[in-house]
Amino acid sequence: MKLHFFLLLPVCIAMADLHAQSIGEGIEDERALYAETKQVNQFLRRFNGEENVQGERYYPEDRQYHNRRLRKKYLPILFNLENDILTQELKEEFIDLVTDRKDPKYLAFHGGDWIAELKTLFTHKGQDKEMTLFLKLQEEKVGSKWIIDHIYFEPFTRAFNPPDTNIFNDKEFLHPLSHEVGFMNIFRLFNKPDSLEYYAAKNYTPDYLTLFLYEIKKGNLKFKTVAGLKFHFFQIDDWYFELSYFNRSGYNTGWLISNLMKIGPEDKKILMKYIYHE
Amino acid sequence: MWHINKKTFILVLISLFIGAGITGCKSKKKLAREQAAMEYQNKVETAKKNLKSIMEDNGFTLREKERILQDTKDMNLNEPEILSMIREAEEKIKLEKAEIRAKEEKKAAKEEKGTKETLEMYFNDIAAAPSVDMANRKANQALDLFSSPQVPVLIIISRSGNLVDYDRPTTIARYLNYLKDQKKNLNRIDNIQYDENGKISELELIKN
Amino acid sequence: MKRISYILMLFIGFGLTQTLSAQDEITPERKRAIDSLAMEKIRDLGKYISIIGSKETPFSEAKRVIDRTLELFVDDAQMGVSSLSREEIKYYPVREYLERLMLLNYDNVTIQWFNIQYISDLELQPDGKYVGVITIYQRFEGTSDDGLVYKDTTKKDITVYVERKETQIGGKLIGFWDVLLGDVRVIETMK
Repeated sequence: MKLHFFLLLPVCIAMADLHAQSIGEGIEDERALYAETKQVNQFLRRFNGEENVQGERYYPEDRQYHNRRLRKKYLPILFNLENDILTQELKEEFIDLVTDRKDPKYLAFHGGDWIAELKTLFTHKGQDKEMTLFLKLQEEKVGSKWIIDHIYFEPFTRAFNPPDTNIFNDKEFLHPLSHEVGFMNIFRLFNKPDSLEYYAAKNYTPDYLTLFLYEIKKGNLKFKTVAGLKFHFFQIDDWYFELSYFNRSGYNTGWLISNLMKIGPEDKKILMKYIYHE
Repeated sequence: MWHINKKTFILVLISLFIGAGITGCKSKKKLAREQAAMEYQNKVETAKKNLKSIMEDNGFTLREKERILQDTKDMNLNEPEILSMIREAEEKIKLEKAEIRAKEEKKAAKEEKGTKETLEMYFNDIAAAPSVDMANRKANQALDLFSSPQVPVLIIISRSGNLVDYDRPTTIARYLNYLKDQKKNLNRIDNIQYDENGKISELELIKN
Repeated sequence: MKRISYILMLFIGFGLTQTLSAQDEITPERKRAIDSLAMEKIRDLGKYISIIGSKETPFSEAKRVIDRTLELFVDDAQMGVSSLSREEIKYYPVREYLERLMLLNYDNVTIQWFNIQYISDLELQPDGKYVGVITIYQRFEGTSDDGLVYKDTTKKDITVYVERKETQIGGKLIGFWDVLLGDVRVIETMK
């Protein structure tokens, strides 16, 4: 692991070097700033080979656009190199796949299959609580926009039991002849609010987003601030990666791949559930 | 001896008178004819003199020359020589007019170039002014070149074919403040338009 | 006859949409011009900030410059500031940010620019305007009269709105790019 890191370092520095030649003061600083993947937009350009080593943009009509050698050079440094979860073998397999001579793979801003996970702080019952918003880029008639697709809020999830998937539930039910007594026995449900959801349909799932909107409208939830952001990419078939921002010194900084997994079609569902805390 | 009767005397007198009368009538007609001829000749001479003076540049202004020509034409002299001289004079005036126009245009262009240079100088001075006061003073001087502080300033950011892209339009007063605050003068003067008083009424700049 | 007029209409219609798209289409060449226009606005912002922050600037001038600075921004633009120790951001409306800067009254304010910037693609938003983000790095150094120096290096991600507009000036139709700055994310960096 460590060995590879040091092998890659000269590449980062060499790239920064080209750019830093004209700068007198603070050369060290500027090299690092140059090496940083400054925006998600830049991550996409570097991933796809749409930017040269001087940081100038390549357009589709440029000969070097999507150049394989350029991508081979960039891709290894687009990973968080201070992370042992990412094995060299896995990274190499991924890089080989996306830079395949016959069928190279690129990322697209408007390509869908990627979500943003935004950590925020809300005040709930007088206390600061973390709220996770999942956002997606939605195409519109004109242009596009980010929309809130999902939320995760621990107090909401805690309030609901997992759905009743038991084949045999012998505790919480309205007996089948309740209708004959005009459902007068329904009062018992409401004496035990904790298990209310057992009286709902088998396929019932709570809609936390609606709850979230309702609580804000009622004034029970108040936005405080944003606190952290990462992205989940499913654009490369059979692969998942996570993109996070690393604000640290050195040359391996900015928006970098922080997790990488090879996944099957079933795994994707499981992974999505995991991400959404379902 | 001197015996002349009254009748004879009167007769002689009458005959004398008549005789005298006949000869007097004849010489008057001739005189008039001669006089007219002389006057015409004078006119021709004057016309020739006038036209010659136009040709010879006797210190007349163009307007005076035009008046002299018109007066001469008004004489309606149907003399081939005069007519050809009039044509020459007309040519001469036309030429002089063209010369004057060219001179004026040259002068105007020179003035415009002068304004452009002056303005460039002001822009540089304001951007490089060592103090706010100095910059303000220079800005006020520069404003004198303009119709008003509200004169529009357009800044071209790119030009490809017929398609010209501008920055948001501003006014000269605001632009001068911009130079003062930013201490940089990055735009060149591309085009100046003047009002009837020779003051700048529109300024077009282009990004370097 | 009908057929001809129909074809003619089609052509005319095509011609119209063509000119429209020629005006609005952002070719790489135009993108570069817009990028440098936006960068210029951001440099202007940097200069204004150092004028506002400097003690040598008379109060009336600082006030005037604050107004000029706000003209660079859309209404309600916010500065969102986070530090190394705290990921959460603190919001400041731009006017408040500038007025605080004016009151800090540093003896001397220098804003050092790093010769590095990143300009994103321009993306079309649902209202037809374009939006982009320009990332710059600045070192801020403020010296107070008692010699105390406040220093920080920040990464600034600045929202830029770009809108194609037209106006009549002296009877001439002028097509211009209205470039306005929006929310600014300020991140303290390790560098």
